Amino acid sequence: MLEGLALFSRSIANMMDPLTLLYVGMATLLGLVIGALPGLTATMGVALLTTLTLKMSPDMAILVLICTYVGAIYGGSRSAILLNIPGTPANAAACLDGHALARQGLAGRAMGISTTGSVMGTLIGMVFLAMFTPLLGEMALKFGAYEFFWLAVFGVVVSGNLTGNDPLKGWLAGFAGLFIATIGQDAIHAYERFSFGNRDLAGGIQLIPALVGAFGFAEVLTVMKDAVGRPAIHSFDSVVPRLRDVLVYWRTIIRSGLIGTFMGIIPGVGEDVGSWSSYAAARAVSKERDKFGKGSVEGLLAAETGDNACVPGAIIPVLALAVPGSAPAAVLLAAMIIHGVQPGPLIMVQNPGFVYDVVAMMLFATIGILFYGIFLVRPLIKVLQVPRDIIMPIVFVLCTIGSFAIAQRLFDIWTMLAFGLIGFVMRQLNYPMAPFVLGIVLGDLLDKNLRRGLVLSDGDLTPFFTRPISAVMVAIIVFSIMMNFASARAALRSGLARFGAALGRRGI
Amino acid sequence: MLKSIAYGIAAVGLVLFAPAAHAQWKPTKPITIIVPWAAGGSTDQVTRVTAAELETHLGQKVVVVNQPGASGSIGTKNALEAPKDGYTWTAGAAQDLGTYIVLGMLDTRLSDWHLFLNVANVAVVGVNPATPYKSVKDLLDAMKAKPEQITVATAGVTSAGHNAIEAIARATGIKYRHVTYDGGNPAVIATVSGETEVTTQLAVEQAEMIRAKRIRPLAVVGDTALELEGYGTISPITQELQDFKAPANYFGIFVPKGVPAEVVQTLEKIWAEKISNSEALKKYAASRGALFAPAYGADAQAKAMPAVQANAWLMADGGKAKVSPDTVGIPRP
Amino acid sequence: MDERPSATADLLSAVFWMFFGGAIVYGAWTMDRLEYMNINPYTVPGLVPGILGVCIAFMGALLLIRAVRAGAPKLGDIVAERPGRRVEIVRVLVAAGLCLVYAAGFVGHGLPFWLVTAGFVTAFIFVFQFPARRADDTLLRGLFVALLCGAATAAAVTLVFQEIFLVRLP
Repeated sequence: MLEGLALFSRSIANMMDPLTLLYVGMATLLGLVIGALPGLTATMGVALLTTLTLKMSPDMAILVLICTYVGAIYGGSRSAILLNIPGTPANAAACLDGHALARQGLAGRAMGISTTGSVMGTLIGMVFLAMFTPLLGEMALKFGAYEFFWLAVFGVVVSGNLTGNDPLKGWLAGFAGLFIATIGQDAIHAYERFSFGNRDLAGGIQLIPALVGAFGFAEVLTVMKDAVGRPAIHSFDSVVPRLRDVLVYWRTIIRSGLIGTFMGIIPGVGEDVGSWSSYAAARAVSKERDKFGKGSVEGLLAAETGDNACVPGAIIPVLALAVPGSAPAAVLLAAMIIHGVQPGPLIMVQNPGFVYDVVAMMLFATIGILFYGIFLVRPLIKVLQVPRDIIMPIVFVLCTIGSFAIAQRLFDIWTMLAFGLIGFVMRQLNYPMAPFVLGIVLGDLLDKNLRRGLVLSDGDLTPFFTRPISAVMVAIIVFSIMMNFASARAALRSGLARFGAALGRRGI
Repeated sequence: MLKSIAYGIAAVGLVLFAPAAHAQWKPTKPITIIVPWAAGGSTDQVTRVTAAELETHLGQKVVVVNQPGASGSIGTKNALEAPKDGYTWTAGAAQDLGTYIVLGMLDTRLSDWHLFLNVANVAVVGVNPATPYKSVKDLLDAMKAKPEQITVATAGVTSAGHNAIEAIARATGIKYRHVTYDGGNPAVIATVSGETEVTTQLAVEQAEMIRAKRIRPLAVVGDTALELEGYGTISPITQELQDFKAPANYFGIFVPKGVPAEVVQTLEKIWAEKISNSEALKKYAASRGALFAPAYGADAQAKAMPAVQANAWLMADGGKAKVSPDTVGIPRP
Repeated sequence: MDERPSATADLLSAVFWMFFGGAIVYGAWTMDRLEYMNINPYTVPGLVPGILGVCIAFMGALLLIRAVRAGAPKLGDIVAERPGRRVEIVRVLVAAGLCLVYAAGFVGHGLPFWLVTAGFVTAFIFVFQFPARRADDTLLRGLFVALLCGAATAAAVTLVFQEIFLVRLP
């Protein structure tokens, strides 16, 4: 441990020079902008900068990439709070309470909370990255086909349960999303499903255009619908993160940080699931449960801590196994390899200093988001005062170019438009968008892992229920579905009472 | 008089300098390389290294855009349909490029492209260290004893890993249980975690796990041994199966035919003079277990074709081909 | 989502989901099982869509039962006209129309991106401010503001995406 601390301080000392700080500042800002623009995601930002930083020294290049990654996940909450459009898929949960707070004139407060959450989340994840990388990396190997299948079901059920006020509609939207993900060539036989001979559809519905349409375009239409515009929101509250939030909600922060880090470690599941699970856990045990979705400080804090804790979490298996824990982490891994750093099981033996370099980079990125969280937020709030007639066409232009930017093909713009219209109609009918989009994210995971699991077990269903992690997940899923029924809640309560009474009789 | 001299000089100048100006291409805007696979994969990595080298020699930005989907055919199609001004290229494995037509995915042949190859990859039979298989012979015997029981992880039906195990199955008559993953790395990880027993993915994808002794390499699926930095030598499968044939899988950058001639000439010049001495690519190849194999022009076509033939006929024999390979200029190997 | 949709609206969407789920099941059932490729029968492409289709149809049925219990179908739900409803529909149609014409009709069809974008933003702002501007008699000023916003957006977007993010604009 002491040796680790020494390596860590050496890493910090090595990086402490004005040029480094300049890079940190620029990269974090760029990440923030990329994150805040709907359509541009952390994955795209990191991939773009991988090419642009190839000529830099490996340390500098990786520092820039990590700052961009952290900045983008943090930046996505800006548009979620101000416009009700998540900047990256990770910030959908932040819309619920963040935008509700902004509507109440507390936009500054909301951004302060998200800064607190992001900083604390990154720090918690960072501690795990520094101390348990080899150990936790092995955990990624515990997740096989059966567990991934349940994880996908879990994501949709939990998100459907939480958003809106109608779980049945949430699940319908979620399952529709899962189905959307199966359109196009299937990942096992490259067989074209539901493509009706269309070559573009055969490539599948891309997540980002669907997300930008369902949240962005649909929001533009929803805002423009009302004949009388919402009054401009004036927000003069402080944007500075409050230490009090940390003290009051320390349990939420630590819990969300742990969940986020854990979700980050699991390969193929990223910030979005991290943020939803933290949010779900916070709501399940919160004292102010009724306020969730209506502007709960705790809810926003949980969501934002959860997604940022994923970032160091996703880097843990990158370093320990050369297995990326999320999509941006996959690009980061590629960048490390290109720069001649080979992460993997041998890294602790061959290059232990590198792990601490990464931890130090994480720390710099955290300082970067804290800096911008304090100094850059006030001008952003002005967005709320721009009349909707002016801001909405600009948002739509960004939606269009954002859908196009990633793969640079027109089909993605059409996807965005289609999902915007579908999304608008669904919203009018009280179907939440978040499980729908999460379904599109997780559908592929569900599809492949169910079939892969069946191949591995030769058609036997028992491993889906008997493997320890699977069994726990099934229990959580069944529990969260059952809790929606009053009769099940009553049964649980009486069961618990009987159990308590039985214990009492035995004098325990 | 003066005027006519001036014209004369101008005319001479035109004649003298025109071919030179023609041969040297100076791109005036960023060049796009479409990688038809996800960011971070093996195609993406080697393309980004090559793009950085090209950027230096062309004096212009080379942007890598990832357009994954449909086994790489969507991105390839977009490169094919882009304006033929020399500013849109694609990258990947030559054997994929050559077999899209057989699968009915894209109407394009290998000869429709200028190939600029950078590395070649070979597949390796790797097993989880907890399994009892110490040699190819052990594994084959076990597969014969328990047909369709031993699980083999690959990146899917069109992947190099599946080609390798299919070729082995053809040569020996064994039967295995095929488990597919999203890419080479996930397939290798599944073998490391013990979800599957065997993987036959590329050496590039197994290198790190082999070095860490989390995967035991049994043999290279080919006829030459592989030197892996930090591990040693992996012997070829031909030691066990004498007449086994598996052509190497070449990767590179592909420029559709029909682009201005100076683009191709400039690239060929860069390949001949710079890429074939590129330290960055050599280093990348050595550390990843790939073969540094720069080639262009007719040489590249000749090198890439055997893998296309093998791949295409494997598909045809497996019932997966929509077009018979020999009707589109791919003879049976 | 300030108001809950009526039970009748739920009934209609429930019927839609049941048809949708049914169509998926049909599509999945008739989907090629790829027997000629000798694939492992547990990996047939239609398996997962089929299961999802069954789930969607089942949940649609639950929603149907719920809606019927809540009193659907009720004629009143359809006939009842909330004041302002018509204005809302017109506004949504205009907004959606402008967006569709811009993104599907003009972007990527030859005209330069900055020009199309400037035109779209200008038109959007001008159209939606038109009633208020006409009432205040500031139409000319409104046009000027709209033009300015359009030009500024086009310039900023083109600059940022083309020069910083290196996107080849349509």
